[in-house]
Amino acid sequence: MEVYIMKDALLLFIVLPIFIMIGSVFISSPMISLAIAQSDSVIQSQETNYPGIIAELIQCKRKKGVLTVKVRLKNISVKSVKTWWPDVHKTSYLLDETNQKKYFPLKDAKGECICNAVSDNIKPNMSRTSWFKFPAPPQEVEEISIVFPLSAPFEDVPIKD
Amino acid sequence: MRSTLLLWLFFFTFLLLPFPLWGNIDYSNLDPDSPEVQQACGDAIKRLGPDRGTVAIQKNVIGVKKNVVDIIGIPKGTSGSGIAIIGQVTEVEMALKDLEAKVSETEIKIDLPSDILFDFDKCNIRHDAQEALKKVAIVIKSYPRKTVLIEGHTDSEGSDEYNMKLSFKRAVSVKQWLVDIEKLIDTNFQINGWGESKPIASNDTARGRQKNRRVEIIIRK
Repeated sequence: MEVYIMKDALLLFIVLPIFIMIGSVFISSPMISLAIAQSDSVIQSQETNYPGIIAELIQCKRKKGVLTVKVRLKNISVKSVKTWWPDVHKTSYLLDETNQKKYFPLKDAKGECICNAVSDNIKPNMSRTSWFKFPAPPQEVEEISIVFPLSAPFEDVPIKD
Repeated sequence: MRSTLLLWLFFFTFLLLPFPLWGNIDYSNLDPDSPEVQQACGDAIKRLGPDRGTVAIQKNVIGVKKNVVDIIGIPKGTSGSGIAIIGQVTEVEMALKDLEAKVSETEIKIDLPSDILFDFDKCNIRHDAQEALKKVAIVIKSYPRKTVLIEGHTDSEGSDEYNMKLSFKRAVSVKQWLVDIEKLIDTNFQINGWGESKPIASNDTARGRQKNRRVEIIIRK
């Protein structure tokens, strides 16, 4: 009897958690979002500090007090390029020149940036889209500038409601 | 009976207890319009309160160029202020010379050796470095409202990732010093950490590695 209980305990406390951990790694691994240039229309393009990589702003949408910004990093070179978003919650922001205000990305209760900017190795002719959530500027603000650490700022970007 | 108890114990131990610890959401997997993200955004907005976490943008009115503009049109005989401006221009020129800045039509590039700015493996500005940074500030102030790029670089010692982070933190330290001490405008700066990816000399020699450990400051005209 005790042998069976020991086996149960072994299964429940050691083997099963290991399976769960392994499974969760697969589930939480970043989705393969690399793809040949998607069909989203480009609002603005900027050069980045990574040779061969351009940044394309593809969304700047205000909804329920939140502004969603999407940026696509596209590798137009013939080599793979490793990109890295340094401290996005400090180095990325919106500039509302109408009200002379600066907005930083939203952070969740754990202090994590509500965004999916992650380091990535982008292969030639491939791209990686990242999104960011900011507090939306007031409704009367129709254009903003968006500053990211990787590229020159996107200026006078129209906000879509 | 015992098996049932064990089963309950299992659920309690591995599923319920650690739940708050597993609460971190991995946003890299999520769609920006997903309910989890929307919920997190709603909560974040509530936490920010009425000012929504905004920071006021300050306008820079300090700088030689501003003073030069003020001086234009002053009648002859009131040259006292003019002398002051000449003094400041000379100060900028001296600073550029001391820093061995490379001046072109489009930008000014200043290379600061990391060994002067920081202690080994650290990112806090050394006291001895303040003299050089004050000169950098003099130059930056003469180009108000221009973009200033601060880029950190390391040698090839250590892992790529570690060097990338160290170089970025060092660039941030330089910017923060300029903002805190010299009251320069935060928004005019762009920060980058390149780690060991952009060497200017061979990493095979001590001298080369020393050259590669640097912070570059680029003022776009």
